[in-house]
Amino acid sequence: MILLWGIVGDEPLDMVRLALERQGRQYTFLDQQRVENTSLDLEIGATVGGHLVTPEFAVNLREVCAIYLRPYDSRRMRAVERAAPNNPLLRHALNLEDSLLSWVEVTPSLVLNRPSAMASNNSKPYQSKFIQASGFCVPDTLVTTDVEATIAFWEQHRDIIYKSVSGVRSIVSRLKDSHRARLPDIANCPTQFQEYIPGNDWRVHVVGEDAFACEVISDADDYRYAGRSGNAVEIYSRNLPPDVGDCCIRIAKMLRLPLCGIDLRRTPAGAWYCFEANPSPAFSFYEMSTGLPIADAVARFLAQQ
Amino acid sequence: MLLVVASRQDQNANELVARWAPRRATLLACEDLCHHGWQFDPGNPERGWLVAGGSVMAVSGITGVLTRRRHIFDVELTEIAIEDRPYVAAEINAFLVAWLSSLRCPVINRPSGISLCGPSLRAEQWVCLAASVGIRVKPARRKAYMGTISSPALSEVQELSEVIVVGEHWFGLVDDYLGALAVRLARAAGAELLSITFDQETFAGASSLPVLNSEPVIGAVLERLEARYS
Repeated sequence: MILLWGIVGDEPLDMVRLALERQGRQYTFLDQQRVENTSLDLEIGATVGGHLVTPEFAVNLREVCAIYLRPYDSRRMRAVERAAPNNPLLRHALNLEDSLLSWVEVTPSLVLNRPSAMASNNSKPYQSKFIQASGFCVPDTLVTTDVEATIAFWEQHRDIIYKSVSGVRSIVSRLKDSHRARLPDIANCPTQFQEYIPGNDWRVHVVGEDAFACEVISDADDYRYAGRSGNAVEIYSRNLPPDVGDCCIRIAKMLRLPLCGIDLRRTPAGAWYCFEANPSPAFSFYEMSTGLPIADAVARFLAQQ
Repeated sequence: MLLVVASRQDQNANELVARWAPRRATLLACEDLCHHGWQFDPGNPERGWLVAGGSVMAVSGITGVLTRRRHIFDVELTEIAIEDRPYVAAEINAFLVAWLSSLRCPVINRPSGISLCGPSLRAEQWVCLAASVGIRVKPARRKAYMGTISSPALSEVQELSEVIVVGEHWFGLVDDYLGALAVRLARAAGAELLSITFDQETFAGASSLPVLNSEPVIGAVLERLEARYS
């Protein structure tokens, strides 16, 4: 049995549901919005078992062979937000979420993706160690609280960007002369700088042993936020060179992320740089832009287990 | 030089720093992360600079690191504006995970993606892992029903014994068989330093942050911190 966990309206999850239906596969959808009607009884020892029950279904957890999860913060669910602060629904919602997260960590089923594996993305330089080991180039990086070191790094590379070390406020920006006056602020918090890598962005979605690539053409420093800077974005489906595709699949395996979205840049000289692997990729944006059959691949991958 | 990564409020850590003063042990507290002087090149970490005890020093001078905390919390960053503390705490934790992982000297425990100090597993994950290395376990039960709350308690506790594993050695009042299983569990968890609690011969819990107050354990930790780098 395939279990999907999330909310209606989450585009990647909706697309996988539709793909499963197109393929005639059976699945169970655990709607996170209906938290008040969901109960879980979990037993974990030498084996993992239990039951998940809603008014629509009762699932023996031992029969679940694959899980695709896109849960949101339970406190943001409609019924929970409407409830009074001390309402038992909030405690139930948090307990249910935590119990399900425990289950997906220990179940022998395929999980896209386990929360512990997703954690590597919380530290970009930590993840880059694995990326480099997979065979990709990574940009020269300096994480520092030292203004003089930053200026020396800037002068060495001439063109550098800054971005967060963690996954919070992760927007890439070029460092400009107008930032000089604020540079002393970095003494308050280690700040990540990288050499600017020229070229076009590529986004590769790995699904098991398959890789789906598209090229993104934009003048924005961070194409995900191109609208804010008034820049246009063009996305095209592309074929990856086989060795680059192999590197992407290798990264996914090293990071234990059977489904991930890998951010690459190809320089005018033909070098491939990798910036990060996103553990819960919003592939819907790229699929809708290019027609790449990513959701179909996710559905097939879930069904193969 | 030995580094002890801990809170300034951590009495056990402060005692270790004082004990290891002849080895130039220094406390690296969260305040040091908000201080001019850090330089970390992930491609060449040994050539960097760090701040500990308020002083800037070369990374190449570190011979061992003992980490005594899993996270730095935003409320600890009292020098940072309140509205910026959650972001700065996230950045500092992410930075420390990468920096501690990059060091070539002994680091006990090396960080995982989600913890500054070794594995940070849920109670249910510990039970599964313990069972996988042959330790007897009582099933962990969790119920999530509207109107009822169950914590991930393992079972009613009878008589607890603690085993502390340091590398391949174990310390505690248990038989050799249980001690060897404890070492296997630590190895499976990727922890060089791990406390495992047994209820009789049944697994009752584990922690990568045991209190270090026994002479043999402290001696083994120090030996581990100094051995491979000398």
